[in-house]
Amino acid sequence: MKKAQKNDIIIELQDVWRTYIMGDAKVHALRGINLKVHKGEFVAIMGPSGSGKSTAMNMVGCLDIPTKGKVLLDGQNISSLHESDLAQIRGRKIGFIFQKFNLINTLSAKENIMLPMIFQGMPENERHDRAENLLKLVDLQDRADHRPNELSGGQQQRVAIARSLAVEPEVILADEPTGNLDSKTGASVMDFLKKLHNEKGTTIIMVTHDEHVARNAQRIEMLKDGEIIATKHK
Amino acid sequence: MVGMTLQHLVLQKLHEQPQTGYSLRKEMGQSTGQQPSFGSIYPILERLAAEGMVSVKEDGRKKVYSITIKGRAAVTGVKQQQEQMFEQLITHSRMFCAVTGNNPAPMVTMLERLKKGEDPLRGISANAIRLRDLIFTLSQQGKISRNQKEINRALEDAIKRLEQLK
Repeated sequence: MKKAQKNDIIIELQDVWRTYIMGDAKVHALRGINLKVHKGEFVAIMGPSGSGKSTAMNMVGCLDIPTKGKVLLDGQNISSLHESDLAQIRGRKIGFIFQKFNLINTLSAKENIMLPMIFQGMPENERHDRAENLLKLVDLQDRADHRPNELSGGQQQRVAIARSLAVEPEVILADEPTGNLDSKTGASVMDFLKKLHNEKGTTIIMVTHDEHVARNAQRIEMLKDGEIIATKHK
Repeated sequence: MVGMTLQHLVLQKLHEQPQTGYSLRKEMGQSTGQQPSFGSIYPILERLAAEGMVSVKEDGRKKVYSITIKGRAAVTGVKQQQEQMFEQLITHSRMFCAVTGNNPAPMVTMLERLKKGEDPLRGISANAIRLRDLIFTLSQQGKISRNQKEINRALEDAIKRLEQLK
């Protein structure tokens, strides 16, 4: 199994279909998607709403199981894994930035960042040190004790980025990371993601409907009606 | 809403096997924790019969209700909707756990079983629902913060006893 890593593919979708049944009709949210993401790549999956972006994102993040086809994470077919094993692998390898599951409002910025570390069993001293470093990285060291609702949209998204980095993932998966932000704040969030990619070599997979945002990536996969209709390289 | 759920539940139970109103009431009490009254069950059965979803057969003094093809189709439709709802819940649980680092397995396994139509809490669901509702009521009445110690003690007692079963 380890041999599969030598070609450096971290996530691969092989002819992935996701079908929902609505009454008598079958709705194909994904129709045979093929996608390879290599370590260190910055890939954008772009498409209008209803194109299957969210479903594709769920597949890439191993959050949903395909109706047909295979999702390979580091060469391992995720359908054959037990839920807890999958969660462990997912937790070690992937950091998520979701649009809807953002920060926990009753916890401070620092506590939000420390949360994944607690569940990973990291000692308390280390947790504090790491969270403080991450806050510094996203330029929010003076906001450590603020609750999410005391932060601006851009600051919240930066806390979410810091939290996604808490467990040193190989891949960051970002769902519309600039979706709720004005264009200037969005651009600064994108700068953080690019910095991570350039300086730390983190693999980034980003889902967006916005072409300007997608242009930050090295490769753009265009999704329409559940199919990849074009691939653009920078 | 309660009326709708009760109607679905009646159909679901009749989908499993034909039975009388009396045994329906008893079974529904076991799986939901609240025994519906005859006054609510019989009008539902009559309505379902009028709509052609169930048929009635007299067996001596008893009336045995069974599901028709039309009723079965309704159950399957609801079942598909429910399955998709559970699939969404599963994905959301995984998302939430991915962000917090929590293990989604216990929750996901439970939802997978519910999706298949199993009843993972069979035999204890009545009390599980009572406990949940009780906690919600106490919270609504603002009695949780005032009685934190007392409530935690009661919960820890129960947890300790249940942990011995693991």
